[in-house]
Order: sequence, then C-alpha cells, then structure tokens
Amino acid sequence: MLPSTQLPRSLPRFILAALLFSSQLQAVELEAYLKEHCLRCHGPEKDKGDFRIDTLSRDFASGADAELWFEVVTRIGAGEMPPEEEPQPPAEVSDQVMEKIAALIREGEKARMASRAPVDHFRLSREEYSHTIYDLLGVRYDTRAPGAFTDDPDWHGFERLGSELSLSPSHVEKYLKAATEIIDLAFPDTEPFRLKNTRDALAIDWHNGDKRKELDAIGITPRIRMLIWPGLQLSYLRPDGGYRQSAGLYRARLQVSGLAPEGGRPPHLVLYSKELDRTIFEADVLAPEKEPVILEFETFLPAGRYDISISNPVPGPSNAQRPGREGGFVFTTLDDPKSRAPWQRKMTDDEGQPLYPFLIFDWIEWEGPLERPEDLRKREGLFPDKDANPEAVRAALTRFAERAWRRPVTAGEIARYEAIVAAETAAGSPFRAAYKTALIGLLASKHFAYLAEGSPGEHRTQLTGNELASRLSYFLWSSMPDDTLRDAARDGSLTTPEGLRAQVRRMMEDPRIARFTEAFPRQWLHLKKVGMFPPDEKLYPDYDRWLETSMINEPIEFFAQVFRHDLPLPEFLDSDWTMLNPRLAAHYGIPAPKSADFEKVALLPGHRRGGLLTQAAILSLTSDGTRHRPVHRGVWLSEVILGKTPPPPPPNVPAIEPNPVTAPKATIRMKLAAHNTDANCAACHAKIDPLGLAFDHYDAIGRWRTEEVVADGTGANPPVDASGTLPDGRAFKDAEEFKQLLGSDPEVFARAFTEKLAVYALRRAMTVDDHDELDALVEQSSSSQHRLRSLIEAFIVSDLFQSR
Amino acid sequence: MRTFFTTCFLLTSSLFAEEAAPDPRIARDDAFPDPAGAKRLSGELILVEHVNRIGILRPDRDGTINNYHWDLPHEFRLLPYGSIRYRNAPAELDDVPLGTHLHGFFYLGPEGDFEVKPPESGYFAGRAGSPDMRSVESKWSRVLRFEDDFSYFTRLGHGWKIAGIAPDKTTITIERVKLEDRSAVDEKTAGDGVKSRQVLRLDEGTSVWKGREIAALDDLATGQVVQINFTWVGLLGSTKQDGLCREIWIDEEARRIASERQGRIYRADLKRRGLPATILKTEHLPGEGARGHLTFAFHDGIDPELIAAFQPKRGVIAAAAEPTLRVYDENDGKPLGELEITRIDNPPPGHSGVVVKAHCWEMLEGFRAGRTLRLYLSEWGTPTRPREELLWPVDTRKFQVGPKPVADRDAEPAEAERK
Repeated sequence: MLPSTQLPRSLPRFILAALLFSSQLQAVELEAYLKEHCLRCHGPEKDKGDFRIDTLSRDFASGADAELWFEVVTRIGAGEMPPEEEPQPPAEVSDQVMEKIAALIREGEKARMASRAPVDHFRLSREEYSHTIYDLLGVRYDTRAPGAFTDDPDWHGFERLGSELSLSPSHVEKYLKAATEIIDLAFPDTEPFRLKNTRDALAIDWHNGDKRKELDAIGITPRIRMLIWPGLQLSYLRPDGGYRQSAGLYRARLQVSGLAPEGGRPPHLVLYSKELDRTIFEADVLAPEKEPVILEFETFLPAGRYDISISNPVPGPSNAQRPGREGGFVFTTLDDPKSRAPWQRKMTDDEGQPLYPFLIFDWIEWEGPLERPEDLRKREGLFPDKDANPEAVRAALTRFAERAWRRPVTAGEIARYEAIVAAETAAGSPFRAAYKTALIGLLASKHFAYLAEGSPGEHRTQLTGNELASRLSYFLWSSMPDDTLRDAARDGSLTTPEGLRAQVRRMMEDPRIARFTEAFPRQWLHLKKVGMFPPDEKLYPDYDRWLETSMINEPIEFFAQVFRHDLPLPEFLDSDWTMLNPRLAAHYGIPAPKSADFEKVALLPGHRRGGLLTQAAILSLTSDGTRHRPVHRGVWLSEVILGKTPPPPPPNVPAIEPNPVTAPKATIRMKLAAHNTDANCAACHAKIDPLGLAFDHYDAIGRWRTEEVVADGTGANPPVDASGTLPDGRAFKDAEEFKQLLGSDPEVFARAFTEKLAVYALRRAMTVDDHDELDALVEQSSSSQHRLRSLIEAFIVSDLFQSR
Repeated sequence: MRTFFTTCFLLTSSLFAEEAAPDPRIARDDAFPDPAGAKRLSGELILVEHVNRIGILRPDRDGTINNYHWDLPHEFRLLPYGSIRYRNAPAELDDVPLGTHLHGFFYLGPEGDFEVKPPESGYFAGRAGSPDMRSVESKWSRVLRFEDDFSYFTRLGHGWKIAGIAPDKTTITIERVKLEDRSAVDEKTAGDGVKSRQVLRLDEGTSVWKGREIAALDDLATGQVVQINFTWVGLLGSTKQDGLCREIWIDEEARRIASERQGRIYRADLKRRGLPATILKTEHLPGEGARGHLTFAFHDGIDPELIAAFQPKRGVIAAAAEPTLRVYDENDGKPLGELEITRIDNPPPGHSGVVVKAHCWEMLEGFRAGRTLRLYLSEWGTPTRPREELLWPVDTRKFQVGPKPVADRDAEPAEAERK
C-alpha cells in the first residue's frame, strides 16, 4: 500500500476509502504467497491435516469451498499458520493476503446473492405483508402478534433480500391461517359486535371502583380523576366488549394531563396488554392539570377477552408499602387536600409544582371495530352477491387476483379458483363460504406472498411496467402499487422517464412514504440491534424501555426530516440540529423541546450531537450490556457509513478481561492496545479501531463523558482519549474532528449510501457489475450536493433501478 | 411582637398572606392564631370524644350568659396546637375526668363554622327558642388551651384560703389569695369573672390529699391555702352555693405529687402517640423529588422534657397527622435527620418556641406547610396505639350515626353553587 502521506490529494475520496479495505489495489499476489508459505504442507506433496489448498475451488461465486477458505483466513489471522518453525512472512503481507481472500469470499457471496434466474422471487417481509393487506382490503393484520409471522432474517441489516427470505412449511401454514383471518375480517359472515365505551377514572381506580353508587350519590364522580404516579400500573382499560369483542381496528381517545418537574423528564403513558404481549400505545405527555390533552390512536385488536393496562414507567419513589398506595382517597384536583392520602408519597411541592413526572387520567373512549369509508371502498367489487352468475364471480375473482398479485392474470389462473367455488358449493357449502375459500386461496398463493421479476424461459434484463410498479411501490411504500400506479404501468407511461418521474414525485408526497422513511433508516443503520444486549441495570440505571424507543426514533425522525426537506446527505455525518423528544433531551443534557413529541432542536457546539454518528442509538447498538465496544463501532462505521466490510475476526480470540482489582484502572483503548500485540491482529485493527475510538467520549448508552468509568482497579478513572489517525494520515482529536474529516469527503459517504439504497430497493446485494451505475449516480448527485430526494429520484429513473 | 406574628403567619400559611386583614378571633388549623383574638370561657366537661379531641362543656352560670341560655351545651374542638393542663401538668383529653371544671381560651372556627344565632332577648330567647339547643357562645368552638382549676390558679400564682368550714363538713368557704403572700385577690382586679369568695359544697365523694397520703375532710382547717378542683359549678340553683368541691390538695407536697403523677402519665402516652408539631415550611431540593428540608414548630403545652430529647444526632420519625392529631397507621412515619433546633422568643399562641429544621429523605403528601405532624424518637420504639386512635383503615368505634362518608368526602355543591 502506498504510504498515505504520498497519496495525491486529487484522488477521488471514495477511492481513498476503498483503499481502506479493498483487496483490489493490494500488491500481494495471492497464489505466490500460498505457494511460498502454504502449499509445502497443504499441497500436492503433503496434505497435512488432510487439507490441501491447491485443490480448493477458485470459483468463489459458486461458494463451493467458501467455508474452507474462511478457515485459511482465520488460521493465518490467529497466527497459527504458517507454523512457528516455518519461515514467517511479514505481518503486513499476511494481512493483505487475508484481506484478499476475505474480499474474494465476499465477492462470491455477493455474486450468489445477485445471481439471476429467469424469474427472481422476493418474498414479502412481514412488514410489507401487513402494509399490502391494508392497502388491498383495508384490514389491519398484525404480523408481529404472538403466533403470527416469524422474524425476518436480515443481511447486514436489510430485511428484504430475496435470497434471505426463504419459505418453510411453517410459513405456509401461517400464510394460510393469516389469509383465513384476513378474509374473515374483510368479509365477516355476521355483523361484528360494534362498541363505543367510555371508561372513566373510577373504572380503573381499583380501590374505589366499587363505591361508584355512593360517590355518584354525593355528586363527585364527574370530578374524579386518577393520578398515575411513577411506576403505577392500573388495569381495566380494555374496550370491555368481553367475549363478544370482535377483532378489528379500534379507535381510542383518552384524556390525560401530564406534569413534569422543573427540568425533569415528562411522564410517559403506556397502554399495554399482557395477553397480546404488546404496547398498544405510548407517548410522553405534557399538559397542565387544568388543561388535559386528548390523545387519539387506532390499533388492531383481536377478538376475545384481554386486559389493557395504563402505566407511567418513569423513575420515581418506590411504590412498595403503604406510602405507595392511595387507600380510600379519590383524586379530584391537586389543590384539594382530600385528593391524596397524607401518608402517600408526595407528588407536588407546597406551591403545587410537580416533584415527579405524573399523569392524571380522566377517561378513555373506545370505538370499534371501525368501518371507514376508504377501507370499505377497497373491498368494493371483490365479493359478488350469492346469486351472482359465474361471469360475475369470475370478474370479482379476477379483480381480486389482479390487485393482490399486482399483475394481470390469465383466465386459466382464475379458473382454478372458480373451480374451488364450484366444488365447495357442490359439497354443500353456502356460496359465501365457498367464495371465501377461493379468496383465501388467492391470498395464500405464492403470487401474493412473492414479488416476481422475469419471465420463465426468457433472460430478460429490463423490468416490465408491472414489475417496475411493484418494485417502485415496495421501495417507497413497502406495499402494493395503487390504482394510479397500476394504470401508469398498464398504459405504458410508467416506463417513460417523464411518467416515472411524475409517479415518483406523486408517491413521495403520499402519506405512505412514511413507511420508507421509517423502514429504510431502521434497516440501513441496523437499528434492530439497539437494545439487543440490554444495558446492565446497575451500571445504567437511567436506561429504560422508553429511552430505547426514543433512541431508535431519533435517527428515524432525523432521516424523515432530511427527506422532507431534501437536505444534502452530509447532514447525516454532521449537522447543527437533531430531532429530540424530552426523554432523549434529558439523556443528552440538552434543554427539552416544549412538546412531548419529537421536535427539531438546534444544536450548539457543546452539545456534540450533530449528525447520525453521535446519536445514542448508533453509539449503543455497537455496545454490549456493560461497556462500549470501539472495535464494533469501527466495524459498524466502516460498513454502514463507508460501505466497506472488514474481514471477520479469527475465531477463539480471547475476550478483553475486566480490569484486575490490583492494577491501575485502564480504558478499553489501553487494553485493546495491549491486546493487539499480535502483528496479524494489529494490522487489521489499525484500520478499524480508529473509526470506533473516535467515539470514546460516549459510553455504552451514548452519554457524553470525559473519563472512562472502570469498576475495578487502583487509582482514578482514566481520562478518555478519542484521538486517532485515518489510514491516509489525517489526524483527529475527537469525534467532532472525525466527523469533519468524513464530511470533507462527501462522495465516500454518498457512494456507500447509494449502495445501501440500492440494496434496499433492489432486494439484492450490489456486485462489481453495479459499481459503474452507482458511481455514476454519486457523480450525478454531487451537482445537487447529494440531496436525498434528488438522489432517490435519480436512482429510480436510472437503468440500475429499472433492470433486473 | 406584632411583627413576629405577621412573620409567623406568612411562614405558616400562604392563604393567610392573601387575606388583607384576618379576623384575629378566627383560629385556623394551619396557622398559629393572634393572641388578641382569644376569648376566655369556662365550664364543666360533660362529654369527651378524646380520639378526635372534641367534646362538650356546660358553661358556667357566671353571669356572662343570659339565664335563659343557661346550661346549653357548648361543643368544642381542640385546635391541633391546642393543649391541656391538668393537675398543673400537661395532659391529654382522656386524662381529664368528666365533670372537671375547665378554664379555656377559645377562638372562632373558620367562617361559616359558627352560625349559631339564637334570639338574644324576648320570649323566644329561652331554651325552647334556641333552635338547636346549643350554647349561645358555641361559635367560640376552637380551643387553644384548657386548664383545670388546680392548673389555672397555680399558673396565676393564686390559691384558696379556707375561711370557714361548716360544722357538719358539708360546705367550705374559701377566699382567693396570692400564693406568695397570702394576700387577697380582688375579684375585679383578677378580671376573670371568678368570685373571690366562694361557698363550696363538700360530700362524701370529695377527695382530700395531704402529703403523700389520702386525707379526709377532718384534715381541712381554716387558714390553709389549698388548691381545689371544682365541679357542678353554679348548678345548685343558688348564688350562695357556688359548686361542688371534688378534689382538694391541702399542701405543697400533695400538689407536687399530683402534678408529677399526671406528668408521668402524659409523657408515657405521648411517647406512644408522638409529639405534635405544625409544619412551617418545606423546601425541596431541585431534581431530588420529594427529598428536602422540613421546618416545624413543636406545639405549646408539651412537656419540655420530651422536647429536650430531640437532639441533632437523634433518629426521628415523622408521621403525617390530621388536625385532630390522629395518624393513619403506625408504619406511616418517615425518618428525619440532621436536626437544626432553634428557639424563638415570644412565640405565638400554640407555638412552643422550639423550631426544628430537619432533612427528610422523602416527604409524604401530608408534609406540607400548615399541616400537622406527630414526631417520635426512634429509640422510643415502634409506636403502638389503640386501634380506634388510628385513622386507617376505618374508625372502629360505632359513633357514626347515619351513612358513613365515602372517601371522607361531603356531598358536592350543586353546579349553580359552585359557580
């Protein structure tokens, strides 16, 4: 490798970044290395350990010997090979060889990912399935509910790669079950029991609920509210349809006040169902006692009887023993001394200002299952009358199939489903049941669950109008094309640049674009990993589930803001603003926004939170439950921001031991330095570690610090050193300077980002074949400072997007 | 003095501060009252509900009340900082036997609480004309202090000299004198309406105490200066006989023993019940939730020995109490620490002069300025009280007539009234 100081400054920065990990410009000859250092023992003359390298397949795309090549890399990396008694190659050379082999394995993997059969099938992720069902029939189906669909496997964060989303027998069973439930919800046999109930504060006040008659008699009931102090959880907020409660979409409105202590966290409202194992609704609430807010939400609830509780899970005094209970007091107003028992924990000071975050609940009103006109319209023409003639049945089935399968269907395809209706009616089933069986069949079909691109027996590279419509709508809306898009596909306008552009702009203005601005950053940034290793409660007592949710939402809100305002991509690297809710603001020590929701907040230099890289979600997803992990941070940054995946570590690397009690306290950085004395390890770590160590001022849950807290050891906690040097020799002293260095090379990030966008949209890994197209897109977008919407639009109208 | 009281009101009640000129005759539970507002009334204790510190007096026929209104019951309630002295020692209401003649200092309750307006003269001003058969002075319902005769006259430095004893020992004539020189106390100078010369009845129930012994009527002799507890004051239908003499302490030792005995009872009880105090202010530490400092004043009338036991390093438990001084449960207390104890001069009525500022790790809802506390030293052990003295879960005594209140609430005013 060229010494970094000699690199010409004019070299495109993304090529410079490529130097970090790419094997292509490395001077080492792989075969020569193998011949000199490996084949004597693992070649034609000797096959030590029954292992020959010369016979390993060099066709990495086939993947035949990928595992064995991986073993070669790990043995060299671990220093086991060549053995001590053999001549040792320089560490840098071994390092380059490992990278070369790793790169070949990766290229092979990508090639396999991208391998194109005459027809490619891409199974819908469960999130896409839900959205599609809603857009098709106006039915909310919760694919994440217990017993519903299994988690989708991901590839580097992306949950929609065709080659990863396989189909097992259990999937088929679940698809069939889901289809049955969905068709029943869309076309119920009997009118569902519709309810509109209000449950007031007394209904959830378990201590006084049975005194309603007496309290009514003294006329106080309308004034009764329920103070929900920190940690209090109360049941009986369910819609209360009992066993008659029908499945469907329910709307809830609840009136509540939320009071926060000066400079403290706001109260957090959580509605949770134990039986459904999910949070029904949650929000921070800030509303004065006398000016409660009405919160409104909609949620899908299955049929049956289950409870929904309300809680305020924020830190506060213990609820144990009698001071944590209300006794027989009923709450009306804070200034009424009879509202709270004198023995209870004090919630306000003598001036009435809150001492803790608490909620005051008034009522919740449930209504459902909802039948909204726009949802009913989606079902129009899909279910014929029981007296309909065969033509009408066929027409209805065809309409259903064309929408569900997102393409025109043939008479032959529909005939199978007509036959089902006929067979079922012949067997004595009523028409309704028979027809529903056919619809279930249509919905459980592979044509629904899979997006298909290509034609059997044909090696077509260009997408058809329908395929393009689906690719586009699943890219931007995570769902099926709407009528307008289907019409554009049908009349051919979609395949013209102007027509395509017009559709893209229309779709970007549609509310469904929120699905893209939520799903893409979540997958791109690996946000699924946030909270994967729950932080240790003793080390991080401030960490709670709401903080975790708020953390995850920050980059998502940030992305949506960049998208909405078509900001340049470098905003992701550094910015003078971010999106915060009060919980996160408290976590960062930044003044809280006025509302309880996420708001754009201007950042000052001392806040040190500009861009994505110093957001708590990013800093914590690479940490384990006890400490930050600089190496993982470096790997994440390399992969997600620079688009380069470092070689995997060799197996059996001993973990970094905790600081000995008798030794001076040492930072993880110091321990890493001691750990990487092996030349083979050090060579690789030298490239990865600085990328992670730059963020050493942030602990495992993303809090700023100037010294690293070390549990055991002697002396004071050591100060943080976040300085480092990039492989090109440019030095930085902390994360802010590091971000500036990254920002000075916007093409590097733009190239990586564009590739991630393409992986998400095309549902496959990018290969060397795609590099030219990606480079061209980056170059094209540089004229608009790499603005996000412009880039997305350019990408969609590019050949890359429209090709198979 | 006045300045001090003004400061005190500001400290104890912000509500008070909002009122431009509070009526000095009104005493509130959450603030120490104006000394100028008290009215002196005396009578015989005829009903006691000691747990809630309420009861009924039969006012004296001392000429201050129209004879049409004689003997109508006077309901009273001890203020949270109200105190009792019995046998010249601190006492609680259950220490005082029914029939004891008490001197009291009374205030009006909060406005609206004293609407007793019987016709003041004329034919309908009689008992039958009093609509609810209550004393015409009933509006003076809040008691700052009660003293039996023994305590009252001892506090004034007075005693009773036996001027004559009927040969059959059925009456005794006494004259009010100063203890220091046995000089006569002029009725007009004393100004409390007590006749300086009285003829009291004796009967076989009259107890006489001499030294450490139970004495007899025979031990009475003219010229002795005694302390007497009266009963049946003025009820014998004649101005010649002023009342029944229930107890007579002949000498100083007898009086000392009586006081000591009562003092011991009081101290033992108060260690179980806790010392009452009024919270002057609470200061919360920013960001520390309910943690902060609590400043309170011990009430007047508490045995100084008990107050003196509260020292900076002692472990103290504070429990929220109602204005009746009832607490809810034995386990309600919260620990206090780092006590700073100061004494103020000329405290207002009900205030002991001892102010304590303490650190409280977690204050309760009842720990607010103007509210009442009961305080215990940890070393006194877990307080154990009879069940009826606790508010939680319910008052166990069947004293309630009619439906019980729900959640301690009265009926809501009608919508129009609220507006």
